[in-house]
Amino acid sequence: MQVIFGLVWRRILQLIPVCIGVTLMAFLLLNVLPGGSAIAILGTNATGGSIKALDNALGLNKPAYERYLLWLWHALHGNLGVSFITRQSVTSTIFARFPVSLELVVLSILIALCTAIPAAVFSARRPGGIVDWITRAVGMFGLSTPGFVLALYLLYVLSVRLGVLPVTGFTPLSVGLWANLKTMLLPALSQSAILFGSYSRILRGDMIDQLYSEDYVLTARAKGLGSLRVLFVHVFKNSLFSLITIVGAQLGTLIGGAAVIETLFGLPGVGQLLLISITDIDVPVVQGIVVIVALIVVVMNLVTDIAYMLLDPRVKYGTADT
Amino acid sequence: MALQTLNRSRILVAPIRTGLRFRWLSRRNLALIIPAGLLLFIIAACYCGPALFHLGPPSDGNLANANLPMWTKSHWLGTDPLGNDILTRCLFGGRASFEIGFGAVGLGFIVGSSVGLTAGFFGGKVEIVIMRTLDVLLAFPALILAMAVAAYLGPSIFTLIAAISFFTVPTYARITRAQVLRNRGREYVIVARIMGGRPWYIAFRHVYPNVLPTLLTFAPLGIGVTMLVEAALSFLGVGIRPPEPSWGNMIAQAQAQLSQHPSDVIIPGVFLLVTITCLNLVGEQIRIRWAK
Repeated sequence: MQVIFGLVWRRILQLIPVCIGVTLMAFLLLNVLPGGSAIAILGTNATGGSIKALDNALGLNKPAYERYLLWLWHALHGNLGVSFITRQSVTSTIFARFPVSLELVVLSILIALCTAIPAAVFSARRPGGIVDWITRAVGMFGLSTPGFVLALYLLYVLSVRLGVLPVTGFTPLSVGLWANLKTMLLPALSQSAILFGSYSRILRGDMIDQLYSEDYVLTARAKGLGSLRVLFVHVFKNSLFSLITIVGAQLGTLIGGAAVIETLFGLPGVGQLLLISITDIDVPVVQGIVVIVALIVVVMNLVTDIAYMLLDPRVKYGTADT
Repeated sequence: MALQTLNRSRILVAPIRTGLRFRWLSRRNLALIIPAGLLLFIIAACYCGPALFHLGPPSDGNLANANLPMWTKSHWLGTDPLGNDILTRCLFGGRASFEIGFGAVGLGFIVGSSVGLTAGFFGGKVEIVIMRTLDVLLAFPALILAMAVAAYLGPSIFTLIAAISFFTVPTYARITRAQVLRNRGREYVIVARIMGGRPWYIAFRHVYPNVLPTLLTFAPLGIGVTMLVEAALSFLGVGIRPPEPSWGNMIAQAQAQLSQHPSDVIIPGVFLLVTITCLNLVGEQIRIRWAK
């Protein structure tokens, strides 16, 4: 346990330079690139005087490093600044939209896991069999289909033709679980296809490796355990590592990458906010989202590593991962 | 006796040789040949098709021809609400997708592998600095980065290639470094050192050619991912913008009329899906066969 704590501590220390790097990069990217915020707000025919006045009001007249340090100082206190457009606090704007994105991501991961795990286990049972073939074909299509294309196909079939689900729009969770799920199901389904592809392929590969190379499989079979029991209990448990890694690694990027699906379905999530803010050159909001998503990615990587160590005491972490 | 066996073996050889003639068509090879052939066909169609079939420019449709259904004469796949031929737009849109896919992977490959080679071969502080920078790039939500860069630099194929390369550079750098680490202690490197080769020379002339084949096996999968990203960016309106066609922006333009004209959405979607599936299948086969 002591080893784990030491390691976690070291990993947390390692996070600091990464976090500084991410914020610095977000800042540079948004401040160095052409197209000033003042011009974006006032329109292209603004006069020099009014641009200067707005720059003063927004604090854009200070040197870049000073603005960065000031921003960092406020960010450390949980204040990510004020939106240029709506004049509202960035922190509260993002956190008001965060639950929607989180629900979308968690729902799509759940759908993908619930389908990919049985599919992969039965594929590993008979590699090359019919279940395996179907799983691999579906997985390949999942990996190759852009989420928005699948979303529109599903929309056409389920909503336009069959009228089973509502087309777009969002019902918050507070209205009712079923009403909310009805609007979230299609977006989650279209996002989960690509996840199904990666989860089922990784789990299948690992399980087949374990089945053919590990002695404990032989022991369990020799004890007379049924093949399904060996598969689901023993092999499955030992094949989870790569799956956990990929679920953890994708959680953060999914929240950032949900912009397409959220825009398509009109879900008021972080991704939609991001797209709006990028087109409006609303620098503080974009910066805030980037930092929060990056933090989630970094923290999820850490959590995955810890989960690894707790699951398999044989895994020893030295300096190998640097 | 000897003659007899010889004769017999001749008789036996004949059917085996006819079998041999089609051995390259084994199931294993077909798994590579079919998707690769389809992919080459799509690429050829995008680049030669418009000239071969005398298809006009993609965006000078006549409003009188708006919303023609599929299988209309001279508009096989119909026309969009502006009267543009959908097949023409798909073919021209494919060009943009392929150029960005190959361009971004190429750029990412060149920059990423040089950086990874430097980190892996020289080690020490150089490596720490490079790897930490890559960590930052990897933690940075890449789609956001690409969206921001593409939105601010304005729409053009080169901007998109630069924006999407933020995805590809760190990936290739990491793969290269891992491969270089495996090669760094090998005999040929040690010999080259003893012979007095300069580090840069050894790195680029000895180690690089040895890791290159493995790196190349990652390329088709990378192109698939890149084309997905391009499609998403164009769909969101920060990639290639209308009237310039792209599979992503065609879908975005047509989605409002999904219920009246579903084929306008379905056709570019099928182009996208088939192309990326082929790239992934080819990539998978190449990885299975030639990756070390």
